[in-house]
Amino acid sequence: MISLDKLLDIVCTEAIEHGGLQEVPDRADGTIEYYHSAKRNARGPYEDGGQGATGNLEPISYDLELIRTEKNELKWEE
Amino acid sequence: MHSFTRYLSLHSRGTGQFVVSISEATPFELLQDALNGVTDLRYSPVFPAYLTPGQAPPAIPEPLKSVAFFFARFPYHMLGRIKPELAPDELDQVYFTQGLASILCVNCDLSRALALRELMDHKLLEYWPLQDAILQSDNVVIEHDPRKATSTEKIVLQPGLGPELDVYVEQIYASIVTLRHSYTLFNPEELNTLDSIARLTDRLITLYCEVKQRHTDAIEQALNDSKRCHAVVSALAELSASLSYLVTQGTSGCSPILANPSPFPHFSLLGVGGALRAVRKFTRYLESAFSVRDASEVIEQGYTCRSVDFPVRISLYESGDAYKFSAPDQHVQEEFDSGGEFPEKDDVPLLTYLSLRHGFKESKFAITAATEILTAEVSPQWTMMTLSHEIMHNRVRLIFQALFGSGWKHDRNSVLTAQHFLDFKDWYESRGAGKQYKLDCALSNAILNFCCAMDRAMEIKQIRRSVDERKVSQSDLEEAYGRHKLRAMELFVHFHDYYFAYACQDRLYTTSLWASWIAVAAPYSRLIDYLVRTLATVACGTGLKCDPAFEHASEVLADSLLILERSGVHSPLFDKMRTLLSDEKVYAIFKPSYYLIDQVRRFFASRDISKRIDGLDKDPFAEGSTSATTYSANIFVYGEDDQRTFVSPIRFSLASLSRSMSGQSPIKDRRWLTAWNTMVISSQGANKC
Repeated sequence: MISLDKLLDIVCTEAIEHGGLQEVPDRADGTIEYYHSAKRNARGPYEDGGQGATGNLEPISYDLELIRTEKNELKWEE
Repeated sequence: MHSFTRYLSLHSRGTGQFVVSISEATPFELLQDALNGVTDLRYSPVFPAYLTPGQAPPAIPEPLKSVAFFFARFPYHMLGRIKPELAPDELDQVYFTQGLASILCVNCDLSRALALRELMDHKLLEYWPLQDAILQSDNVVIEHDPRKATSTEKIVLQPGLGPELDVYVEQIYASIVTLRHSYTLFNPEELNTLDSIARLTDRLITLYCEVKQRHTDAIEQALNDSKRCHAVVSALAELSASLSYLVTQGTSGCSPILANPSPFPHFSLLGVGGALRAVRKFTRYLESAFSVRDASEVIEQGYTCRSVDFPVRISLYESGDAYKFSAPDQHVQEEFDSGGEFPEKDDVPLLTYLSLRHGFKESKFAITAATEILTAEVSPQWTMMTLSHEIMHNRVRLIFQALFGSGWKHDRNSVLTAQHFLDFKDWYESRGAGKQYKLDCALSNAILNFCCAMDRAMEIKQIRRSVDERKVSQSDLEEAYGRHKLRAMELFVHFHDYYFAYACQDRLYTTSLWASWIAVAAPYSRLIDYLVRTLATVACGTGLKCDPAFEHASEVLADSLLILERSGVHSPLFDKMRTLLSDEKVYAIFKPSYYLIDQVRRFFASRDISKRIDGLDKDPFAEGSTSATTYSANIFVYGEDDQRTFVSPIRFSLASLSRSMSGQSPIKDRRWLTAWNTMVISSQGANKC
């Protein structure tokens, strides 16, 4: 399904996204507790994903919000 | 009610003597006897091969005078081939198994066993003559198959890499040596997989050495290089662990049987080599179908050259005709199928094995099936169809790599590039405005848009944030992507599974999903996530606006829960879900999910691939339909050997699942039916589609 070159590139991507943590927890230092509830991935989401993004680019005016209105209804506003 | 499952067991009497028996006692009775008598016990289930509709299973032949083990690689076809050659009383003496010794014939003399051996696709025969049910190990007869497959690829080892790598590399190569030997006899079509793994290992080692030798004074760069080294070591550890599983599970149970016990205690005599072969064939079948179009090539070569007007505003998203599934007989070329040929090249097949701990799971090198499929595959909770979901994860992993991934030749230190950020900013701030965007860029933007929306849904406000508070910086975007990437990936996976494996049979899909999900812990802790992705999946392809799409999906889900309950599958989750269907938070999260999965449908549906998966023109049991309810294979019919009857593992498994949920299974013995399913699937030719 995945070519050899792409598979190696995926390992490279994982180094940035997960710092080299194992995907399948076979060693104690590659395992986090989240695994048991999430099952999908031993690493879970990476909350500090922004570690590499240090640029000073102008932020995006991202207007989408989920609002609870005065009528107590949830509404996407944008 | 009859039990059709039998157990072939062996007790040691010392001095090379063993008591052999076939029993219809349950394994618990066998184990209790062994515990009471403080004896050893090796046993495996065996299954009468030729049943007659409406009749009890054949009686166990008594006394037991001999057991002949045939190591057929295609037992479904071989049972079809030998059937006309067997006398009526011999039909009752033939069993199939889940081990490498896939067919047994009891109480035939050696000359008859040798004659049957000549009919088998693989000629290895092990024959146990018994005296008063006692086997003397010296009397075991083994006739080898003189033909032996070989691998032509030369593997050159890289020794002396230091303790950090050697521990894994040695284990990898030792596993490859063991597996190569076993595969030449039992799975010759898998020799190329081992060659691929050896090449992969070699390249990983080279990369590790290159990075390790790099010297830099910049702390950040040095840290990132350390992470790369860790990632390579982790990859080697994962490979090593997967290969070890393959060795212990896939090579045990081979001849001589007495010398090769299985690590599975409940299959200790004959092992699970046949069932493992089924898991692998199922996986190879889907891999083969997808190989016609490499998703990363379609994105990197095809989608970079085509532009499209892409919906930006999730709050106003309405789907539409462009997203609707078209009828199978309607000639439509999907976006994914246009733009030239992009076959996969040099792909590394997934390693496949069983795991009680990991259950059904995908990692970049391997697919695991829950060990429960050995005994309860026919139950909706443990159907082999769950494997298709895991295999789709591998496909989606490749898609995300193409859209967002880094690489050794274009390395970077951030998860997203500045270009990702700028493209998304330009696209979002333009509000569409009729602008055309390259398809690859538009897809990345849609995923980032979903991630940002999900981030906003995590913190609901009563009044709008200020303009400044709403701004998303580069690091904000990376964090949102990091938090919600897995959710986005799941939507991609669900679409692929629903469209390709389940042929968009909405109720069958949702019943299968929830039957398997109630058996694991995660949906209990994150129910809304699982509920919303189910709803979004069955809504996609309808082209309906959000409200009616949600209503439609809710109706499908409600029906499916009823189907499950009527078939005896119950969970407190079902009532909770019914309540949640009217929870406004569920509908709120449904909207961005529907938005994203609709884009996946539009740009990743492929008729070229789905045709190969369905195999309707080749599978005689499908009779031209993808419908699981009309699939006509049954347990009284064997493959006609001359044609090597083609059975699509997907259509076959779906039909079995459908029968099991509608209570229409022809016999009530789940273990027999489970073994039958794995035996049929294990007999399919690799890369048949």
